[in-house]
Amino acid sequence: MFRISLGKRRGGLLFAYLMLAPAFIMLIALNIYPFLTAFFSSFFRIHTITRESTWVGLVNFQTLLQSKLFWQSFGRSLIWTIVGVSVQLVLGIAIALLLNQELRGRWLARGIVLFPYLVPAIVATLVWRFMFSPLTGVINYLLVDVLNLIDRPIAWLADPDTALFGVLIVGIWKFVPFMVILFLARLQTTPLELYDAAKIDGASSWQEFWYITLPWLQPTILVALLLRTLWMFNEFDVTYLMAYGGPLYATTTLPVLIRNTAFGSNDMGRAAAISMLMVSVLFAISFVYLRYYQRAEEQLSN
Amino acid sequence: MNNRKVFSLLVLVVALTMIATSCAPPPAAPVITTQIVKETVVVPGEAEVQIKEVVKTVVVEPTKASLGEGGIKVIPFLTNESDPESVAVFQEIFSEFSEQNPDTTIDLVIGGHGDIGQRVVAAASVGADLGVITVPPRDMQSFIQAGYLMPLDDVVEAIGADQFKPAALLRGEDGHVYAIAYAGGVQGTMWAREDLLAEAGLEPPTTYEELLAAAKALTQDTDGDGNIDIYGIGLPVGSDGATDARFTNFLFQNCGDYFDKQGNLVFNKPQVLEAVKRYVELVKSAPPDVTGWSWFDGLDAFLSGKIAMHPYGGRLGVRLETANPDMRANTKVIMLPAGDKTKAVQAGNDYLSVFNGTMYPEEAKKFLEFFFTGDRLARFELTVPGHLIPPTNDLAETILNSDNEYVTKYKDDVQTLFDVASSGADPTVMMGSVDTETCEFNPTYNPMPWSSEIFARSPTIDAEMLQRIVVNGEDPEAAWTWAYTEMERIANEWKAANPDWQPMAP
Repeated sequence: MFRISLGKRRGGLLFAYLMLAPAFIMLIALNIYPFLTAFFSSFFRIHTITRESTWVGLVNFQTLLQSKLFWQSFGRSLIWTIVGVSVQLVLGIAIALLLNQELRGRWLARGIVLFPYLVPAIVATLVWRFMFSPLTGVINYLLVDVLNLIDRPIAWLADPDTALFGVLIVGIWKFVPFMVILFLARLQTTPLELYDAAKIDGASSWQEFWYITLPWLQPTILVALLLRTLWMFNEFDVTYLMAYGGPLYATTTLPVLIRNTAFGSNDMGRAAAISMLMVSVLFAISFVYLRYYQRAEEQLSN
Repeated sequence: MNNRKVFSLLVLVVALTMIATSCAPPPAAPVITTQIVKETVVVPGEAEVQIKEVVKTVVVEPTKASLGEGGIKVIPFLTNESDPESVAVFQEIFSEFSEQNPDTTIDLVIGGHGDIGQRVVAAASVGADLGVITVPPRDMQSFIQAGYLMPLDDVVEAIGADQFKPAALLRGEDGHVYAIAYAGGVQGTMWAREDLLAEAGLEPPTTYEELLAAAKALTQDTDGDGNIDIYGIGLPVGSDGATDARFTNFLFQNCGDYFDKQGNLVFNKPQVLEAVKRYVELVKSAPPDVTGWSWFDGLDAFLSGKIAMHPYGGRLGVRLETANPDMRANTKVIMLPAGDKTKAVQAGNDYLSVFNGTMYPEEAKKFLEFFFTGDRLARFELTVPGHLIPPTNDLAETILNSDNEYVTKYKDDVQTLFDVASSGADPTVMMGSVDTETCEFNPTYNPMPWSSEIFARSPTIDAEMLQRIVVNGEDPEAAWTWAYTEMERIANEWKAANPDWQPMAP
């Protein structure tokens, strides 16, 4: 009797492992193998084109930690991520609240608001580059000729003082819809009786938002923050295509620095080392977010 | 076993098969096409038999079963020529080739201007087939060293080597030809608005001083609102090759170069600082966003009438003819006058090679031979007349005498573009073209093996040097000192890693 059940259990386990195999193989091929390759590459000096490699130990990391360019790029990545995600969060909640109202044509508005997220980055950046142009761009035309807010056109993407700001505007425009979708979905599941009860108690609209809507959104906010933080920190196409990292490194974030190191300086080992440092930062951020997420879930269930 | 488990197992088998298929190498693994083999050679007049090591091309044809659907051999053709007219002519030529070779199809793959090199590296890493590829000259020696390219001596022999201009055939250190130029590009020509020059009482500039004066005079506030409406010149100070291609004209014409023929740094010569100062002085008459310009920003600014002069190749004229024929009629192309020490400009070639891991090497080479013979190359060059500089003088004559509408209408401009290109050199494959002692311009095929690290980085070294001055307000001498120190470091590191290297120039 015991033998039969043990045999059955083994068979069941084997079957379970077999079922897990495809996902596990994909995980190894698409995640673990590239990660380990990058990890080991970071200890070598590797010429990108010829693939000649030399073991250098921790030299790549030492060089990076002493590099002004690395720390400046890291700082820009933080600004790009923190400012970008914060503004996306505020705008995302605001637009989701608006689209959650019983307004005429809201279905159309919900479709239109998704548009920036659907446009390929190359198309969006080309259009925005035209719009930012101080010679022919519509933004300068509006600011100088229509609204008279400034005296002369601003070279948004060509001035180190404004370039990152210009790129941030595009990043925010492109990724706000993601926040809107998440928050709108969550808002549509809000128990309406909570609002009825609040109304009976004489709560103002602000109090309804603060004490009902925001706590209800909290787990989604944390998920959105986690995902957008990871994606913004890793974001390459918008930052690169808008200004190619320039002028003079003014828009060089860590992913752009990785590209330039790997394919510009032909130093794949050092590029891998930068990616390893980025991964460490993202692990730390994810850890903090996930702890907060657990707490928020517990609070909500209580 | 119950039905649910059987079904699950079936799904599992399908999933594993799909994974195995997607991870499998392409059908008929790439073959080694060149091998060093020992061969018994009987030397005439000598009794002894010698055993020699010779390089032989060994081609292993894939079996019929390994071919694509219907037994068709598909050869990818990776290019960055994305003009609609060029793409249409490519497709025509591919069809003609397939008509003659029914078992072969050429598959057009268009890559971005700066990412062809990255694609080649990525394809080589994963064993993907790239077929015929456009190769950036600055990466050529590294590609040859890495074994990414296939010798094309037999193709060159078939199409005739003598007719090609210097550096149109790129050879490796082993003497084999690895790439053939299909078109050149010149960066030392400048488009100028004759109507605006005439209004200012000026002739098209022939000296740097005249150019500077014209750039200043044509920078105007035409509507009197206090803002400049048209700038004298569009001169890029962006991060990429668009800037260093223009700067090289200033370097050459002021008797400067990057390295001499032996690979010694000459960018530290005082005349280079003069070239830097001249470039920066002109930028004062350029739009405020030139520090963010890449290749097409100046073209767009010229087309929209916001700049009066712009160094660019023949494409500007062709685009202008389509967008604004009236403005085109008042626009002339001249040689960019950037200095008076020597008549030399930046002009380079675009090359075609065959990827060494390609599945059908013989067919790929056969297609190259087809492309370079008959009227096909001329038809391609005429898709952007005057911009695509022919790699042979005969072809240039053919184009000038063609009945192409644009060429007929603007024959002088096309002639100017071809003439200026003939005084051109690409520093990545013609190292030491300018003798910095005598100012003699003597371009010969002499690749700069470390050019990738100097001209492919972002920003390129001379672009960063110019940006430091224009954007950061750094002293030109300090920025120039930084630039030549950086170039010297890169060259020295490369030489230290390759102690046996000898320049190809005698």
